Amino acid sequence: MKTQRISILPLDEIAGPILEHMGNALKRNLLCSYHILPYEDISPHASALLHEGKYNSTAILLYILKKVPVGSSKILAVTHKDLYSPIFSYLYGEAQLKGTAALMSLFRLRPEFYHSAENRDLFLSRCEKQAIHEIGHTFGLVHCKDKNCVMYPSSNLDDTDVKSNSLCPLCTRLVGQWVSGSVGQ
Amino acid sequence: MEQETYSNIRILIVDDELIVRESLGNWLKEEGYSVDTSDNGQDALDKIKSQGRDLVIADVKMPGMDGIELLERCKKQDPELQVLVMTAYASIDTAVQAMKKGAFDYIVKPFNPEDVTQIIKRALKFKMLEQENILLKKELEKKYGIDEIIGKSKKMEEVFELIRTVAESEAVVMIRGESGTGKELIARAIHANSKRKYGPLIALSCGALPDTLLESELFGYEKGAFTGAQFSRKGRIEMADGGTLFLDEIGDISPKTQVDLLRVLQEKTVYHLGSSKPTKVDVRIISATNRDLEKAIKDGTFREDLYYRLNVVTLIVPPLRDRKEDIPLLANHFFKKFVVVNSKKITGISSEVMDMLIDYQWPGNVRELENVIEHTVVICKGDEIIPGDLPNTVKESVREKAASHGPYGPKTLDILEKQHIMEILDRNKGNISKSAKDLGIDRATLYNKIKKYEIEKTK
Repeated sequence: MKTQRISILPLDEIAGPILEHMGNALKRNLLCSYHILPYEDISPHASALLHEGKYNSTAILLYILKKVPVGSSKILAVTHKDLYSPIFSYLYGEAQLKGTAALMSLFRLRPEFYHSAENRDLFLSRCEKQAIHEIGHTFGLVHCKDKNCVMYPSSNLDDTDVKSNSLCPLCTRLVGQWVSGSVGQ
Repeated sequence: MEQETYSNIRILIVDDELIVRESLGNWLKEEGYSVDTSDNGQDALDKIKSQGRDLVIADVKMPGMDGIELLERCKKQDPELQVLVMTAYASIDTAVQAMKKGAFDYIVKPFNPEDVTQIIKRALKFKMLEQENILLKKELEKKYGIDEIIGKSKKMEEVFELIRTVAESEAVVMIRGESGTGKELIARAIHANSKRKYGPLIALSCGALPDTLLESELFGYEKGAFTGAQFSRKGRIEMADGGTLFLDEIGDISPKTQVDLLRVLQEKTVYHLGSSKPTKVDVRIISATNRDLEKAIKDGTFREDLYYRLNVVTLIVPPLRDRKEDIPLLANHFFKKFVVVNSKKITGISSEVMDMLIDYQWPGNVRELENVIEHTVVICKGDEIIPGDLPNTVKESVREKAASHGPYGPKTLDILEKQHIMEILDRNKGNISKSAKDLGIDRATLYNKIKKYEIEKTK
């Protein structure tokens, strides 16, 4: 069985420890390796990707597909900016179901966004959960009904804070089957 | 192995913009739903017609058929289909129009993901509850339909015909019949076949409750109306609003409750105990009694005006002894039911038992027959129900009748006398003195008759 490698692509200058924290969570849950790509400045394409300070999530997903390095099977782009889509006013993240690319925003994960005191541990916990959740979709996982599973849908951050930072046994087995190729890709 | 998802829930997205169809479609797929898309209203209608859908999410602004027209046509095609309407413009007029045409809700693009998740979940939950409700109503309809009342006798055919006729009307019905004839079953059949069938059917046995309790049960009460009334509570009449109220044993209600009930029938309003505020009610009343109400009116215990209000249509349920041809049908029906309930391996009811059942007078009517069959099924140790399995009441009654009439019609006086003497001797365990006394003859006469009829003395 070949180990999957996931590339993490920062779209802004994001502190290394945050990206490493997310990478380690992916490694732990998805039995994969990760590597962090250098910061990609997408400002030259800003007119197409950026609108009123928010990134167009669907357009970014298409953009980063071209950035998957050789040796990586999946890519997770991370940004400080808020996300929107043609239909949603904001998003925590978006991914291609059973696909290659995923994107997440740190914008709404900070407690300060909700006028709460800064809390680094809480922020990091939300970051890792969001990363596993979005990349989980690229492994074909849909939302899970287990409230403790990281694939449980978060309609708000309360849901995110309540769920654990790991996959439930069923989702773990599904990822295992997916990686070993016994589930149709 | 499959993840537990909503994959059996099929959602159709209808929008002329590809990006919207794809974005919303992908997002819903992540939720685990089965999703497909249409770029125009006609294609959507074709898909719904051929394969059905649980939820349609349609854009209002589309070339050709717009979302509102699509909504109307969807609802016409499948009234249970839930439709969510979306638009890029927050127009109150469009929202009102969509809701009036039966949309479940209205969402404005771009959506707040949290709101959309909740709206979709609510729409699907609503649909599920609606389906569950319809299913339960159908089950009830089946359970309490006319077909569930057993009988092929002419008298019961007349009852069925009358049930069908009165069910279609809004007439107040009074069901008359002896205890155990199935009056409540008939009231339920009338309700199940009426246009009120999707409304509630509330039943109340008036004879079972003391007068004060009956009043509070019927009319409801306000907090503090009497000692112990800690909360306001609706009465049965109000609970039956939009449906049917079945009042059993109506002949047992007190003169005061009769007055209050008459007011409900006349004014179609109800007053809670402890309140002077009227509440409008739309209730059809079906009552039942086994009492001679005409005599009660003469005696002054039942109001004549209430009698006429309640007795617009009278439906008389015949006693079981007057429709003996239904007994085998009913007996076999209950037999099958109790064999299953008691997990017994009994093949049937012997012809001898069936003859006895037909011969019995059934003072407790169908209810008594049901109890007797249950008794025999429980007691039976063989392959079929035999006379020995019957309860004593039935055995003794049939034996007495046979003694007086015999199985082949009337007998001579001599035979009747012999049978009577034998029975008395049997009851007195052969004691001549006691038997002679019971028969009203002296000992010598009894000895002569024993000799004449060649009766063997019981030891």
